[in-house]
Amino acid sequence: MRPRWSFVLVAALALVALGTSLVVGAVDTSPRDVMSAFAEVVGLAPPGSTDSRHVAVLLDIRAPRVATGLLVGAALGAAGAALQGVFRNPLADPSLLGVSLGASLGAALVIVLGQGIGSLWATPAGAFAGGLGATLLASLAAQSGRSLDTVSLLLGGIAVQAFCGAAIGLLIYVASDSKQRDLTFWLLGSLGGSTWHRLGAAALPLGVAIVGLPRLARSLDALALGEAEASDLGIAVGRVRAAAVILCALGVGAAVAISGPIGFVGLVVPHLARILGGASHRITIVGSAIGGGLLLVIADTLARTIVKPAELPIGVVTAFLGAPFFYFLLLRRRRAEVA
Amino acid sequence: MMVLRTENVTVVRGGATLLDRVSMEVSAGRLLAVVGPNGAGKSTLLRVLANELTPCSGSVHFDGFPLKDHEPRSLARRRAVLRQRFSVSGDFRVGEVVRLGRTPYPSGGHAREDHAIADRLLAEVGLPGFTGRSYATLSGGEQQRVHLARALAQLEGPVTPKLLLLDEPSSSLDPRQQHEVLSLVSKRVRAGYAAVAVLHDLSLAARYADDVVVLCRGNVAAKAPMASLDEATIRAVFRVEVTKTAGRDGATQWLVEGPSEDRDASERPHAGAP
Repeated sequence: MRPRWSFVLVAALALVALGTSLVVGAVDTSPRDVMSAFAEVVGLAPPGSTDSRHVAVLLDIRAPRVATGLLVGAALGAAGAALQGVFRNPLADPSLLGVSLGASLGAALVIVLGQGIGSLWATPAGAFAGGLGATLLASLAAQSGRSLDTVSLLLGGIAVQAFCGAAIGLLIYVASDSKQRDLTFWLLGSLGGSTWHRLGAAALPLGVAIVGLPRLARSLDALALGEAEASDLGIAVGRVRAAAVILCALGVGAAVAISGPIGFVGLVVPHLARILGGASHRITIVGSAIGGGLLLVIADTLARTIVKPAELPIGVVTAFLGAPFFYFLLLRRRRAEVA
Repeated sequence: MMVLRTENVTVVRGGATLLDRVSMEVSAGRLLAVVGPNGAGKSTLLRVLANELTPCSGSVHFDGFPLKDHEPRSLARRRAVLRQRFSVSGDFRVGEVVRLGRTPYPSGGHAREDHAIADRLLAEVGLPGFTGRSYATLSGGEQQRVHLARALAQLEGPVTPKLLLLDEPSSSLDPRQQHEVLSLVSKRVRAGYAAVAVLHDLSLAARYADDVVVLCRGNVAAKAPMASLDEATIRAVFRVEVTKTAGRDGATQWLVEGPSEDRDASERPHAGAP
């Protein structure tokens, strides 16, 4: 499929997904309720002309949730696409750097040793610090001067992940029953806690990653030829790699901090983007940001409607939704190659 | 005009001396062939010239300044490298791969002009209309020519001098394509490029190269205009029986007839093994 058609397809999907996500949820609202609430908010309708409950649901619950989904998904998708380019490996994803498990350990420490998940700021702050700390440790093992060695980075990431995983296991073991439930819930990931305040706190690192990663696209394209070839083309390979790792750690750290670890998006969305738009990183990274945001919004819409008024963990939905679709595309491409 | 000059370049890796005080130079409008048996240090020398490997001692100057002192992007517009082995990770189109050669330019390879350059160069290397093809589906020889087009695309600009470094540019090609690729390179050289090419085929070198450096175990065994390379040097360095003759069109041909008798037994791999 060529980019132009993909673009139309994605734009249409985006409209439907965003609209649906604003309309459905635990409180019944019709598209008309949403429209009139929206009209009131932007000043097209006089105040009080809409059920104030609907305005509140829309403004304070659904809109921040949709916005969080878009930004978190975008950061996860773009980070995955960039890291696959950095490592020249289609299996790379943000968790390789230890950022997801590091963030989880940070959150787990706050939940188990602190006051629990109730506190608004402590858990995200712990997660963000943990994510950055883990990436820093992994990168330290790979650093030489201003550049990073890929294999050492992978091995460093494995060591950090193993340690964080064990520490989380230990925390689950020693935690009380109620904290164990909080911890398990957090570890499954959810957009349920999204508020404008939380999103505001994470917006800067998320935004820096989403805007910064596409700027590395051309260098990552050159890196697809190999390291020596990229530096023949004037690319400072080590610095590009370091920049990519820092941006990914910022974005994914912030994403995990406000929504918990959400798997699958960073690994698979870039492949979808590539199948639809080609190998060029400009398209892959931007496409993965858009696709990741959409996938999260769709998954979140399903997560809070399928078992309404309860909610499914969003990671479960992203995987259930994305895996079969991804598998289908793989099959189709294989057939095209054989034919 | 001198474009590239090395002085006493020595490279030691893991206790082995790969290059021992190698001095060579290449001027604008000259194609320098680097020949020598396997393990002589040809590729190592090319990696030093490409700024990929830093010599333990000695110096490499490009355009009058130490290679290290050049700003990477500015260097990349004047010097392109075609390596022996190449791979592209990801399903890139042929045109995209060629346009990667435009990375050092402000347009980054996205401008209409870059597309035009890529199309023209693909036609020049014998792959007209390949722009939209998937790189991964090409044959080894086609891929090699795509990378040659990429290297040439890198040098399509106003700044001089230009230097092409080629590590066995014809290794995956059939005889006709070998000649086509080298005559293409030679055309660039006539237009003022300097070029260094590691070559295995002496007759090919004789036809297209202006000068030759013969490497043997990391040392320069001979350095001469290509035409004056003699049988004795080749016999000593490669340890083969060889005849230098003239072909039908008068160009020098090197006929290799077999290993020479003076083969040093201690050099033979697995000496004494059954």
